[in-house]
Amino acid sequence: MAREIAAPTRVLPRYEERQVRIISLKSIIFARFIRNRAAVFGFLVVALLVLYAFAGPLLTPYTPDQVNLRERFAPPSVIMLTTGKIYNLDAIQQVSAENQFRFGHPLGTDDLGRDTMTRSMFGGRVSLGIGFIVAITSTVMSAFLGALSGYLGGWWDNIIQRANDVSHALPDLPILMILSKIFPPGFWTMCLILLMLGGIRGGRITRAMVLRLKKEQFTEAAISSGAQWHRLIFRHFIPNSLSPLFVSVTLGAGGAIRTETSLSYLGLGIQPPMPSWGNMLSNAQQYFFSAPWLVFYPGIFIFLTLMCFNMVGDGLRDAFDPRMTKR
Amino acid sequence: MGKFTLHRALQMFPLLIMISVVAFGLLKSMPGDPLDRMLEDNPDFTYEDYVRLRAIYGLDDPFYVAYFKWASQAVTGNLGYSRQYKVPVLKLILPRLQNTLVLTTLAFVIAITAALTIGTISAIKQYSIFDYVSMGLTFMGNSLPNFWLGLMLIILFSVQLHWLPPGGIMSTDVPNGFWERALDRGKYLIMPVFITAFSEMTAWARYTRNSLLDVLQLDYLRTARAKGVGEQTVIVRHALKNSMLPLVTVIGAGFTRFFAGAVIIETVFSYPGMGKLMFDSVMGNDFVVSMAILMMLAYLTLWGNLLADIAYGWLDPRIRYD
Repeated sequence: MAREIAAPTRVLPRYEERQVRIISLKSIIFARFIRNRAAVFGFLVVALLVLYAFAGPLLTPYTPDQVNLRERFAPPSVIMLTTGKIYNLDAIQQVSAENQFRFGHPLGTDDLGRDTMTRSMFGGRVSLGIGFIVAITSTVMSAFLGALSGYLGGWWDNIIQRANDVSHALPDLPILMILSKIFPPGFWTMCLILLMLGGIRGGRITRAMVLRLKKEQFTEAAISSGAQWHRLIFRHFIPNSLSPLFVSVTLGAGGAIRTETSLSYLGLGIQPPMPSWGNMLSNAQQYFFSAPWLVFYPGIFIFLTLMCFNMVGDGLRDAFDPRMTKR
Repeated sequence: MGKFTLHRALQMFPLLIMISVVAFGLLKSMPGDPLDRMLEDNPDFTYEDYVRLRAIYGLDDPFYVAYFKWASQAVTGNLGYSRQYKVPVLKLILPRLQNTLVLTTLAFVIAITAALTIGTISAIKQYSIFDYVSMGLTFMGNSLPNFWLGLMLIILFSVQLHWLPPGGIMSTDVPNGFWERALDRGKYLIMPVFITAFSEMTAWARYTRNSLLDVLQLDYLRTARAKGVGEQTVIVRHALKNSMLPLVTVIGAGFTRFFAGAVIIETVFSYPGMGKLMFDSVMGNDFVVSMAILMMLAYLTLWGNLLADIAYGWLDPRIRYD
């Protein structure tokens, strides 16, 4: 995928005539990313989903908890008659003076007649919001812990690494279930719970990088010119191990959304009436037979989001480090 | 090698103790206890009874006292008594552990076989149609939330086609006979096993392909071919064995995910295993049951990691652990 941008010319002209284009590392990385079609596609879809979740509610005529018992289990249809009951193309044919058609429910309605599309927009706010917040905070926290552990060594390293071991040995879903019983679940506690596990779990990559960077000469130079530990960590180690962190934010966002939706599906995450893509599925499970669209659409949103985050993450990894490129 | 294994096995114990302290602390901070349920369910249950029973069960003990009481019982094999199911925990867990192990072991074998096959074929036939299709599918499969995949399969195979039962573990009206029983169990296992295997297989297949592609470029394979070793032997004996190294690490780390995945898959298919029991016991404040399951899962995970380390040493004789 990622070929080198500035290929050296085979026959070099004389020194004075050489045309030198100076390309910054950032622009090389950007160009590599742009050339990766899957990654750009994934990025655009994530952007569209964010737009759908945050700008969509301005356009829909419904609110997420607007109950309409006359329109329970309306199948997906873009238009419908004012009386309800008749959907899609049949509605056009049966239109009359007193029975005009109007905007319907493009993704159907649930057992209380709530519009699935509107709910999926608000659910998207919750799920995407948790994904972004948790991915960023837990990457920062685990990078900091990893850097601290690698830099300080000794007892601190031992304590942080044992905490890491313990958190890796405990199966994540059961632990998250217990945590969500301790902290009554809502948007922010959900973020906190996922951060607690993710923040401790990561950090091995940063630790390894810091152990390597500690031996570099610039570190020695920084120490000899009087740099304190926090300056070393924040100014030298973390910026130098930034590229895996970007990748872990993107992949971590997908992971956080996956975990959040799983927990909410089990009924231990975001609680109704606040919609999330996960808890929309758990309500839907009992209406398999009568209303399969209730199961289908929230899952499609989760699937699209996870896949596109993975695409962007892979693309970023390839752009940062061409050696890691998959063939 | 033996020394290393022993060393690593001994290292597991301090880690297990740490895990048990963390797990105990977390469970202890969960709101609600078994007595709250009794207080709600039984109108004759007075407040005096409540206080008396709290003292008997040791529910007011400070954390370290409660922990040592639990730990001293646990090392003798007494994991407590489930207030929700009214049976000793061990009796409750063992059949379910068996069910979960059947599910995860089957899924594990299938996932590894499928991952190695798919990964190897698409590495050998790089850029072929098979490669593109299988890598596209595994990429998509990697992003499928497994509980949703479960729901969709139930809709397809149980609701629409009536081929497979939507959940449970066995039918009530099976004739007594080993093969009839096994066939019946199999029908219930197909979907949960497939989903558990699939969600891990996708990542493993991609790893196999990538690391095999790295190995296939190396010179020693040309040497092997040049001295007349058959292509099949070159791939299987020479290339695949070396390319397994990164995969072993991934599989070792994936052990926890297998059991964590069991929680949600077992709940979707109401399969009576450890995962479902874990969910029910957390929901029903059944403290000792959750604790026992957490410890058992942690123990299995540590063993999984140890086995991965041993496999690592076996695959790469250069690695010495001393």
